[in-house]
Amino acid sequence: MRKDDKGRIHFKIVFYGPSLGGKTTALRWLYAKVEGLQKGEFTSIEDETNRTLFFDYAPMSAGGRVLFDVFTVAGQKRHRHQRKVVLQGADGIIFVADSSPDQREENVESFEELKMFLGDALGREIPIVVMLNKRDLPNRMSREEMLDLLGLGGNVPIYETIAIQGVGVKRAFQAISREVILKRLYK
Amino acid sequence: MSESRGETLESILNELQGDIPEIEACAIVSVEGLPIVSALPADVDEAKLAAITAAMLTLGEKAAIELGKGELEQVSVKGSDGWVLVVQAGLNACLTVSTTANVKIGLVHIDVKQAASKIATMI
Ligand SMILES: Nc1nc2c(ncn2[C@@H]2O[C@H](COP(=O)(O)OP(=O)(O)OP(=O)(O)O)[C@@H](O)[C@H]2O)c(=O)[nH]1
Ligand SMILES: [Mg+2]
Repeated sequence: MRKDDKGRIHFKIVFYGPSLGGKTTALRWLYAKVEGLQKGEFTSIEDETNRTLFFDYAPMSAGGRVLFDVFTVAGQKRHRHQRKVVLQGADGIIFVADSSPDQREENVESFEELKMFLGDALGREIPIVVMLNKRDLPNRMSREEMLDLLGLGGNVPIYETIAIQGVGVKRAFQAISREVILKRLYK
Repeated sequence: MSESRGETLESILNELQGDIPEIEACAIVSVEGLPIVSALPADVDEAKLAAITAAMLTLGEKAAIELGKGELEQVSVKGSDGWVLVVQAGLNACLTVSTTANVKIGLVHIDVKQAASKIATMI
């Protein structure tokens, strides 16, 4: 959370998760399709295959003096340091898990890394919601299997999403925005 | 459309309170939990009502998802001294209403839903 020179409050929301899970797709969809949010410019630092090298960034406002600075991290393993940098100052996390069965390990590793970076703050001072993405895949893992995999109980809001079609993305984003506002603005 | 009659978000809230005097406070709040417009008595803080709305949405959404009730439409709370209703007003906002206990809640539901669908076209 920071205040800018116009007195507006900025909250930082970070999409986290394994490479190719759909973080950039989800943010691009929010940016392009969602009404009711005013948006600044979309910034991407990516390679020629559209995989994120450092981060994507889009500022969004739900009106009034509150702004959301929304980032995605670069999910490929070699960008670990970049992820740590992007996480700094995060007020809320959207973890994007990939429903394809061959990404089982990648989901777990990425979630473990996130827990390591944020420690006890994750889910407490820094709220998290989880997107189970790519629910359109015919061979997708079941919801239960994925929650088991990530060790998620009833405390974290879970959204089943199809980022390429935008299904569920807005709800997940609204949920994390609300959690962040509840934690930071109204505490 | 409703806008062509010169209606504003404020006038919708005022009308609602005019129709049902048992409504003590009402507010339009973004789904993220930020206040948009409100009609409140002096002792109710706008930020507080927005925060309560956000908390009710979070819990309501969780209940609806976990128990397979589909998309959240409304959350209601009854205390010995009255009701608090949060009703979705389109995809981006909701309408929160607090009433005294002696109100005919069925009527409130009808009026609040009508107001919410007007708001949905304006936000
Ligand atoms: N079938 C399906 N494909 C998806 C979905 N969401 C994203 N994809 C595809 O998955 C691929 C990777 O998506 P990205 O959004 O670039 O993934 P990312 O998480 O940003 O990856 P990194 O930048 O490497 O961390 C793209 O080809 C998307 O079109 C989905 O819901 N269903
Ligand atoms: Mg990306």
